Parts: sequence; C-alpha cells; structure tokens
Amino acid sequence: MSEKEIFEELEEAARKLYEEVKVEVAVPAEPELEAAVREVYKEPELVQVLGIAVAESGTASRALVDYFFTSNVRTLWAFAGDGWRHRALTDAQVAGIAKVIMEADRLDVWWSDSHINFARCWKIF
Amino acid sequence: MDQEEFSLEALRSSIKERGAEWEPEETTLSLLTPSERVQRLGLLPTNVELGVVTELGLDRPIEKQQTRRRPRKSSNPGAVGLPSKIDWRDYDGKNWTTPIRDQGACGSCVAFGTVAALEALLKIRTFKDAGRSVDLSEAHLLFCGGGSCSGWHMNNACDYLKANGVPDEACFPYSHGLSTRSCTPCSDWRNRIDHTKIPSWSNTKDVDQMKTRLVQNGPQITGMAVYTDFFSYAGGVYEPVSGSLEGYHCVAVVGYDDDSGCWICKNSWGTGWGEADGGQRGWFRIKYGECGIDNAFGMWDMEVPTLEGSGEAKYLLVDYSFTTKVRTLWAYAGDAWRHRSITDAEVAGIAKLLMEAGRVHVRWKDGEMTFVRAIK
Repeated sequence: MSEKEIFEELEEAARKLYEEVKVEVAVPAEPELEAAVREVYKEPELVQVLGIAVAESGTASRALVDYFFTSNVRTLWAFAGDGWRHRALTDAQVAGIAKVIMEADRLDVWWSDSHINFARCWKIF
Repeated sequence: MDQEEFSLEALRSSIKERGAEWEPEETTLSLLTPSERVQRLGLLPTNVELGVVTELGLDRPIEKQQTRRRPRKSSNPGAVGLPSKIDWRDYDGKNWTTPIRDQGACGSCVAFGTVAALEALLKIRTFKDAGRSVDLSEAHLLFCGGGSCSGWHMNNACDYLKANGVPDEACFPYSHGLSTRSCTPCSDWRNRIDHTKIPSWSNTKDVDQMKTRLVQNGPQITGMAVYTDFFSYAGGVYEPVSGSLEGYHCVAVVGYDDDSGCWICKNSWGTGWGEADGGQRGWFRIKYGECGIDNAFGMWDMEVPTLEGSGEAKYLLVDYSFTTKVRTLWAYAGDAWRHRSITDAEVAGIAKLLMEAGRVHVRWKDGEMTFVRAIK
C-alpha cells in the first residue's frame, strides 16, 4: 500500500469516525516477552486486558494524534494490519500515553472493530 | 551377564585386579532383575553422542575394553585459578543441594537430574539461601515437557524449562505422574513456576569449562553410560570394572575433586544405593573420563533468574490498556524482562522521560523494577 493510499484511507476512516465520534488500540510480542507477560498478567486478566482471544494486533507503521481546538475531540490513530485503528483520548492521555507513543521506536496495538484497546510502546536501545 | 554370575565376590576381585578404588555392596538396585534395573535409567542419547560412545568403545562390555581410552588422568587439575575441589553438599559449611529422590520404575532420569541441578541452582543463585526448601515437580517436567518413561534427553528438558519453567512438587506429585503417565498438573501451575523459567542453558564438553561453571554457577546435568557393576556401587571413586553396557543415564553433578580425580554426582535411585553424604546415601563419585560423562555427553549448565540485580536496559516497553487501569513498564535487562506497574501520572512522567533517554539503567528485586536511571 502506497503512502498516498494509506492517507486516503485515513481520510476516509476519520470522516466516518468524526461523524459518530467513538473509538479504541494495541501490538505483538517476542516469544520471551509473551511468556513474561503471561506471568505478570494472570490468565483471566490477560484475555480481558489484551483481549488476546478475540482481538487483532499488529505493529503500527504510523501513529497520529488528532486534536480539535474547537471541541474536546482528541484521537489516537495507528495504521496497523493494513488499516487505520483509532481511540478517543482525554487531555490527560494526550499529555501521557500519546507523548510516550510519539517517542517510541515501535508501537504495537491490539484492536477490535478498529477500536484500539491496548498499546505497547517500544524503546530499543 | 546374569545375577548369579555377577557375584559380589567376583566384582571385588575385578576391582582389586584393576586397581579401582570403590566398594561394591548389595543395593536396592542390584537386587532388581536386569529388566527392572534398565527401567531406572532413561537417557536417550543423540546420534552425535552415540557416535562418540562408539568411537570410545563405551558400548562394549568392560572386559573387552582393554584398549579403553582414558582421556582424563586420575588427577586432572583444572584451569588456573580454580579450586582443586568443590562440593555443593558442603560449601561454606552449608548443604546447597536437595534430598535424594527416587525415580522408581520409570525412565525419568532426565527429569530428575535436571530438577536436581535446578533446585540447587535456585538455592545458590536465586535465593542465596541454603536453608530454603525447594521441591520441584519432576513429573511436570517429564510428562508436560514431551518426555515419557521410555526416556528423554537433557536438551529437551532444558528447552522446556526455558520456555515454561516448572511448578512445585505439590502441584504435580511424582506418584500422580507415575499413575497417569500424562500431563495432568494442577490447574494453576502457570502461577506456580516461581523463578524456574531459566533465561538460558548451554552444553560443553570442555572439562575446564565444566569445572569453571561448577564453581562459578553451581550444579550441572550430565549423561553417562551405565555398566552392570554400577548397580552395586556403595562408595569410593567409581570406574567400571565388570559387566556390560546396560543403558544411558542422566544425573546431576554437584562437584569435583582433583585430588581424587573425580566428579561428585547426585543420583535418583533412592537412598538404598550409593555413597552416603552425612546420613543419606544416593550420591556417587566417578573418575574423570569414565562412562562418557566428560567426553561423550559433557555437561548442561543452566542460568537461573536472579531475584536482585541491576543492568542496562536493552528494550523498554510501556503497556497501556485503554479499557482497564493496567499500565506496565517493562525493561529487558540482565537477560530477562523486569516489570513495574505504573500510574497514569507515571506514564506522563517517568515513562515519557525514559522513552527520551539515550540509555536506561535498571535495578530489580524479584523480577520487579525498583529503580530506573534515565541517561541522556
């Protein structure tokens, strides 16, 4: 998919979203990390939190933050799994996780119905 | 060789004739029938290992091994700087090993040898506490790891530990394993594998390296060829003098002694066999270069997780759930993932700062991060 097509898709997805204003996010893990994650997030929580059984996931090739000064709409966008995924943000999240995402070397996202439920931000030294 | 022919008297003569220095005795193993004894083994060597066994002539009856290679001298000083002896049953005045177990009539020696080494390593490296009680499930390692009573290999056991760890004995008792002979652990076993998931393992056939790791890390796992006379071993420095190859066996190595020219090993044949350590039998010493221990098989060395430590992060992650309150900071440092649950304020504060850093130094205790230093 070309850059042009990617952003055309974004335009289309954003148009639809801002008509309704609803949202969600997430990413895949290395085998060793997967096991560590399973130890920390116990089984029920893992499914509930990561939605591993139901959600799709992928590494984002792009991440955007939309911010309207004329309304309280703030949206995180991630292009992953050949589509744009999104999540509505609060102002606190713009100051928090959105900044972390912007600094990350890699972003993995999990989503369902294109709503991002979970984000994993990677820093690789 | 039948039992009648294999009398203790004849064995004593052979030992004397060969100038060996060990004592035979009637043991719980020597009293078994040949087929019952073989069930107490269970190492299935790789083709490469079998190739070395053949090359060294270890597959021939002892009496026909006249030209038997003796690659290690009886006294074989290790690399410069190594002590002439280490015995984890008595190190710093404490016993760092766990009690002798009995694998019974199942070829589960690989699970027992591996767990024996792991239990000791956890006491030595992870908990740094000789008095700590550690009893892990051999049944889980064997039956959930893909092994069976027909035999297994150390590579598979170590791979399973690296991928999964192993729960405590009470989660999947060995007696239960022997009755079901299938993977039937407790339902919450994944929550009971505390610190047993090993970061890495390796195998070496370099004797200096074996000794170095025995000193610097702790007990290791090895394989050996078992001959008929080994079932009658009751003490001393073993070397085979009589009988045929009965099969291959896995044991834990808990030390070495250059003065006696031997490895010190822990077996899994109960306490009715072997040399006593204090009050408990079940141990043996074996001469360097014998039975393929340090040439055909070498030793398997496991790294175990450390509870406390520090190091530079290679990767740093921030997990953020939009549907729950879960926010987790992860750092890969010291060859393992360390974690810390963080608040929203910490996501906006320290997490962001760490993402901007050029380097991050991490300290942890029990897998959890206790300190981070962001360096630009």
